[in-house]
Amino acid sequence: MMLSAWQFTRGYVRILVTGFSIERFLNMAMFRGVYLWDVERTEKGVELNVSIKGFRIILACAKKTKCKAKVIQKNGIPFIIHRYRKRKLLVSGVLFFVVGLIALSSFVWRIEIEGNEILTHDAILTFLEAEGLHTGAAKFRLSDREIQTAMMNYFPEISWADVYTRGTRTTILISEALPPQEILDRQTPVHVVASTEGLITAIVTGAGAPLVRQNDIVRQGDLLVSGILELDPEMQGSPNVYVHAYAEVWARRYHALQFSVPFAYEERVFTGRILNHRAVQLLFAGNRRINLPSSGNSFASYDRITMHQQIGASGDYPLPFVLITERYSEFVPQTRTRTPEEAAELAERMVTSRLIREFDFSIDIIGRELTFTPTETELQVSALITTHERIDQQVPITVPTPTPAPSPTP
Amino acid sequence: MRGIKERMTGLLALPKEIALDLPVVMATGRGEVNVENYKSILEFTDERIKVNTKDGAMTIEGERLKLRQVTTENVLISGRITGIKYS
Repeated sequence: MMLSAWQFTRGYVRILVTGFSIERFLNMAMFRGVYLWDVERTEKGVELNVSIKGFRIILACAKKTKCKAKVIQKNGIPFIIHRYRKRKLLVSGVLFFVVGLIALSSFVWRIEIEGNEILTHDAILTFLEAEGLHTGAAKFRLSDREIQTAMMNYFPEISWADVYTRGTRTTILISEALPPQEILDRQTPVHVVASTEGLITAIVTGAGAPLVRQNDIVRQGDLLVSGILELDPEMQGSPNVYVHAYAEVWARRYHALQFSVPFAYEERVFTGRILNHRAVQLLFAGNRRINLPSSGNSFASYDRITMHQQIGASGDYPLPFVLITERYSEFVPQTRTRTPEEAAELAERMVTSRLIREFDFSIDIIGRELTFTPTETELQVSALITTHERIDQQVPITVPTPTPAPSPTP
Repeated sequence: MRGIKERMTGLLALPKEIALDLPVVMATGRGEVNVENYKSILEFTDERIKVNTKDGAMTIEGERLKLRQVTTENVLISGRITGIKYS
């Protein structure tokens, strides 16, 4: 296989030899060191393959041995080149493509960053810009190692970064350091006060003197656990000790939500007619955008979805062209009316989504009642949510202060 | 003269074909015969190929014979071989 490939590159001809003594012709050719292959006897004479260089010697042998040699087939690259030598435009086009591809792939056209949770993409990209790495940066001017060390020195959050370039794509792998543990300071004397109002359901005191009990109702700011203790309760007027009070205080609270669900609403009925506007954005020459020809947009109301797709030769060779497709899908707005039951059902779903969104994860929801008051145009909804949550909050004591009389529990 | 030379090459364990310029015939299955160290081609048809060597002529018979390769050292014959004769 390799031999025939090599012969094809150098070019060879298949010739028909006729004449008096072909054996003498073969011997003479062999003596001259000409390599012949696939020599076959046919009715008219002998067919054989010989390289272009060998063919010239063969002609001399044929004359000497009074044989005739006729070319019946020409194969090989030299003949192809000869055939296209006049086609200036084709040859220059091929050359332009090859040179263009090589030139274009000596730039970085895509930067991918993986593994960053705390650090944002933009923060990294602006830093890389300063280091000279941006889409369209020339590859020979950049060194992955330098950027890698620069990144690790610049960003304290990054514990290890790996920058490597394959083809025209630079990939940056980051592993971020664990966020530093915030140190709980246990020294400063504090009180524990109520962060909001509520009915206390449980109190677990770690340090300090608890002033409230279960089922007490407290208002926002009430003192729950005092950080001031008397050294010796029996002895009158003993000096006070200031302590870092800590307690977990759980309370039941009520939240009211008011909103309304309109009966009439607009539904989007898609007609199925879709229109695609296509454009190509160049990542070089000022990110210019070339709109490809497409019919105008004649829809009254439509949904527009824009899709970006970078064109690339293969996974590792993204090229600096981004195909932007804007898909317009037409819809006809239809006003519909909801029945009160549908509105109520929707209200339930809305309450659930608001609970998930507005309430903190640690709060337990232990009850919810919805009351509906329908009017002509909408359904008014008021929801009463009972929750079970922690209301302890630490407040520093200003030392020394006259011992504040513990506020009387209501 | 030839006896002494032959004995010498035997003693010195030299490869015979090179020292004594003898042909080496290697037949691979029925489809291919390679004759090395031949002198010249005497006859070439698709039924019979006659090759001259230092030890006299050799004839290879068969059907659809063709010379796959012809170089100064060897000749590679392929086709359906039916006989190899020394004359």
